[in-house]
Amino acid sequence: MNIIAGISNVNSPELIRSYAEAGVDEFFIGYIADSWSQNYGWEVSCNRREYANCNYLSVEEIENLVSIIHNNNRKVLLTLNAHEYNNEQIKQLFRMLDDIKHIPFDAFIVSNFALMLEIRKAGIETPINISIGSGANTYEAINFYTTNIENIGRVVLPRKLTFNEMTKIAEKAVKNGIKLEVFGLTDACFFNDEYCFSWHGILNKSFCNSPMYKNRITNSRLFDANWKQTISKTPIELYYNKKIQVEQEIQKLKTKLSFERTVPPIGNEEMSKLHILNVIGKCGLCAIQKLKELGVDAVKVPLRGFMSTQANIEVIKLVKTIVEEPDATPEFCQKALNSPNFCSGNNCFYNYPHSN
Amino acid sequence: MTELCIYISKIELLESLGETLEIIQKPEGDKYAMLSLNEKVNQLSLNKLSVFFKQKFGRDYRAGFTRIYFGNETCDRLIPDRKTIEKAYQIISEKGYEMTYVTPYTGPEGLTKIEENLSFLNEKENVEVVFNDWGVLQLLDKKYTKLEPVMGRLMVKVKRDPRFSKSGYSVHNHALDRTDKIAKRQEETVINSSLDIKEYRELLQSKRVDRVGMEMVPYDEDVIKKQFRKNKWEFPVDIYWPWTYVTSGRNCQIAAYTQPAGKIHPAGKNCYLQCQQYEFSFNSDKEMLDSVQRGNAIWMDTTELFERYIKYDFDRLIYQPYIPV
Repeated sequence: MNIIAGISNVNSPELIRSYAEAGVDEFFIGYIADSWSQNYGWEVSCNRREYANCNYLSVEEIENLVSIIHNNNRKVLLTLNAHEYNNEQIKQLFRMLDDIKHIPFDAFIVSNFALMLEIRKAGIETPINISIGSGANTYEAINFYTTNIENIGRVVLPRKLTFNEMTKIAEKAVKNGIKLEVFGLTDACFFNDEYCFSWHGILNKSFCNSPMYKNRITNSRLFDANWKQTISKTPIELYYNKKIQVEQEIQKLKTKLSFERTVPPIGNEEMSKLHILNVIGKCGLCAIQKLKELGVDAVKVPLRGFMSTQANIEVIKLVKTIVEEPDATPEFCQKALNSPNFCSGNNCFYNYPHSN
Repeated sequence: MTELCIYISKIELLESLGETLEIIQKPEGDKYAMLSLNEKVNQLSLNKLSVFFKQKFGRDYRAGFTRIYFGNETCDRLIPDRKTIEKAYQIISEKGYEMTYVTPYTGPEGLTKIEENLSFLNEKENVEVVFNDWGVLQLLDKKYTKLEPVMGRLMVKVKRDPRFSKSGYSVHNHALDRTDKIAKRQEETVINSSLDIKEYRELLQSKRVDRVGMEMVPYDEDVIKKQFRKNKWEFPVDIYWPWTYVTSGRNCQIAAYTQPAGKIHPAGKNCYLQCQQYEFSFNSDKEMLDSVQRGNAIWMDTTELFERYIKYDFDRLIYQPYIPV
């Protein structure tokens, strides 16, 4: 199983060797040319990272980087994974691609189906990896891409699939020679990447992290489908009682949650892990063994824009340890991470028992 | 003339269609406060339809509907089983309407349920299927070829964020020359989509897709006029109203809310349809269109945009009496 990691201009090219030695087999990067940002600003990214420091901004930087990566016998992929491009954006994107066409990328990571068609129409034969933003939630969806687009390199499975669902997809895909990639870690939003149409990034906070969403109000619904008949007979007290009841339930739940979340105080050893736990965010590492057995080809460590080089390298080494261990049981993974607090059940994104 | 369709997600609402579309006297005072946004919007939108029909055609709005969309777009758990689809088809046919089956994005288990329904509907005449997942289109293209694929609104992935529905947002000026020009360009990205691209349209057409779904979003009137002119995309356009989709996830936050230990992934067994009991509402310091989270999805109320849109001749208005959850 390969490890694929995202990097950006906050990581100096000299670090590539360290990343490679730590275990990275493939790197992926984003490129935003000045011509793009002068037209669309930072809010409308061509690769779903709305920040300058999550990307490379010049052809020279990329030429140098790709050469270093290839000299280290590693692969490098370019992300072109915005959900939607209109005609003008596609033209702009192809001008950017034209500037870097001499750079031998090993694959593109693409979400938007129209862009895939345009890339092939332009005669570009670079393999296309199907991004999480494509919503390949079933084997049939994968089949849609593979039957309509030539030279699909790999398909990234969405993070929101349960392990059982991934198993079903992988059984068919692997049998048909389709390579799969999964997310290994980092924070997973509760909304689906490919179906979230809210703005993200820069001065406009993402919807899910906005004060508006964080301070959401919970309401209980009073009526069912026949409310038009019942409202005239419903005493107003019911409404107020229900409101009080909901508030009490919320309070009870919050108390329960805080009780159940109570875990032993964090020890010194765990404290020393905090810098890598911040990189990990949410974690799918316990599932890697099963994913290897299913024949999944690569695990993604999306570190684009993560500035702490030391923590990044430690995380990559951790993933490498798990990938290389012939029997990486959940216990093995938890021991390797060595943070009982982190592994108390709230940070897993594949191995949660109730979804399987 | 715009064709009028109803989109319903629950069999009970279909069974009592008369009541679903009924305008009642506005409850007075405190009683009005008892209603959720969903119920209030039902009445406000029906009143708008009623006035429009009376003024434009001199007839009752309820006589104007021709087709019923049935299903849901965001949740595996809410995919109707085959028995429900059979019942829905029967009711719709008996009432003299055509049927459009609406499907969500889904994983392998959900797709199996959808396929059972497709298999039943494929035996019938003039049934359309709205797909919001390429896997569903693949099935329609290769296997259920009698059904007519309609591209769902979740497949046109331009931004529609309630926070910026009435208030502007900020453009960062880091290393940029002309932020005024950029703001204009950014606006264009929420108006135009990949449907502008010929090859994309041709591929969809080659798979028999001959209709696409879109939403009411608060564009300026001249944009709407340009955008929805006939044949812009060579597809007839469905416009959904009064609920515009914003986002959703297989990690249902409403279900998570009622779980112990803060489980954030209740996509599976822990769902007992909490979406039917609870909802989230939002307050913002900015002026915006009201929004609500029912189950795993957030919806924006676009009732007030009706007059801005209805004068332009798009092909179908897909009226949602309630949030499709």
